[in-house]
Amino acid sequence: MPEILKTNAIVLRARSYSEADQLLTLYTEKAGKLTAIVKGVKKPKSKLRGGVQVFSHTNVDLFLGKNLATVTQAETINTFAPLREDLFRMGCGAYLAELLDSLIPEGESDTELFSLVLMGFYLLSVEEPWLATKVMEIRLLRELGYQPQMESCANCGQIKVAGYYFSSELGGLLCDQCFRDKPGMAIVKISGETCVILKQLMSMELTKINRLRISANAKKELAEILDLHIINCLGKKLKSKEFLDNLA
Amino acid sequence: MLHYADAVAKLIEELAKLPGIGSKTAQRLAFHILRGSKEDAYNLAKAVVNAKEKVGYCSVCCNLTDQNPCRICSNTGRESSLICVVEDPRDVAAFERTREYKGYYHVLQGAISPMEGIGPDRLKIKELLERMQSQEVTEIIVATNSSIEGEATAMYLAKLIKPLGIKVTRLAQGIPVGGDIEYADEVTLSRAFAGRREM
Repeated sequence: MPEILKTNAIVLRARSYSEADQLLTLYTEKAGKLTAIVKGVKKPKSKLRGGVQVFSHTNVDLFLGKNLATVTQAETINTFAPLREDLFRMGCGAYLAELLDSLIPEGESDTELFSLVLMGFYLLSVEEPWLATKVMEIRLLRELGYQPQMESCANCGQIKVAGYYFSSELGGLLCDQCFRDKPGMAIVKISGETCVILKQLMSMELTKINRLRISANAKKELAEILDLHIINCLGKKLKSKEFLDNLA
Repeated sequence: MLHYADAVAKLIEELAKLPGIGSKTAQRLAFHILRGSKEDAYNLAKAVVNAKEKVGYCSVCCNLTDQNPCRICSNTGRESSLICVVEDPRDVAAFERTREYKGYYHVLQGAISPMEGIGPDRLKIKELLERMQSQEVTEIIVATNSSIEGEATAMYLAKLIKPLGIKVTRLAQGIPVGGDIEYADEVTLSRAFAGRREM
């Protein structure tokens, strides 16, 4: 039996499909990530268009067919307008959307993750976009089980970690001994500050990230280890990441 | 296509490569062509080959054209200080239908799309900048689509061109003719508000 689902959703991606339709990648609160078709959305008279813009938080009615859902109604809750008004913010938004699309498996609903994603787009539209992107990367990795190990050595489990050697391949910080045992492995040496900031970003309240003061060096290192870790988790570099790097 | 003669099967296969045409439609089109006169079939084939061989990019505006420079660029009666930047040749046709605009065009042949990995280097932006150096331009009208990609392209162009001291404008956005305010989305409505005009 086909059924109708009413749910909150975030539009991660829209692709043109046939004459005037679009295929949307939605992250919904009740049904997780899914692909939905929205018909006639490119026609001037479309009533759905406003509600299905990329990055918007919207309330949709979905008709769940055999393989594809169809959007039958859409009402915008928040469009995160600043993401459309600044090129860097938009690039960060596109990156976050692509990251979510790659990390989240289809059809698994998770209300906590949904709130985190919503919060992420909100932060991107009001806070400094670079920091908002970094904190979202860390939180998403944590929520989805890819969190880098920071408290003990990722290789031998020893609690006391002497230096700050980060290996994405092993998934976290290494102790002195393991660092010396692994010649030839891609290991990034990070400063104590970066390590502290990383831990803070993992646990602090998201609305307070603007209070953090981060040095240029820590920013560089943070970006480096997160990029490495994400590429390692996904097995590829995201297209929008390349775009962002070129923009900066 | 086992049950058709090889030539027919080939025709169906080629037609089915076109967008929006599945194998059933392709079969219908193929049989329509076979049933029609020889002349019609020749004309169709000639039109396809002709278009493919003669049409290229205009060296000035990057629009598709069969003469270089294209008809619009070689028309000296237009206002040379205005360039309207669009994504696609079809957009030029849409503006020309309005008969409102008397300047020249520049076709980017696409839009910046971070998620598809299409950066500014894949568009005809370099050509636009070169053109602005050789031609006295006072205003660039950015008429890209109102999608995320179109907005990204518009912002990128503004960032690039404004420092050169040239006015960059964006098409107005608002309620479409015959449209209901009730059904307009918030972004459109707020932009319509911001761009209101005195009567």
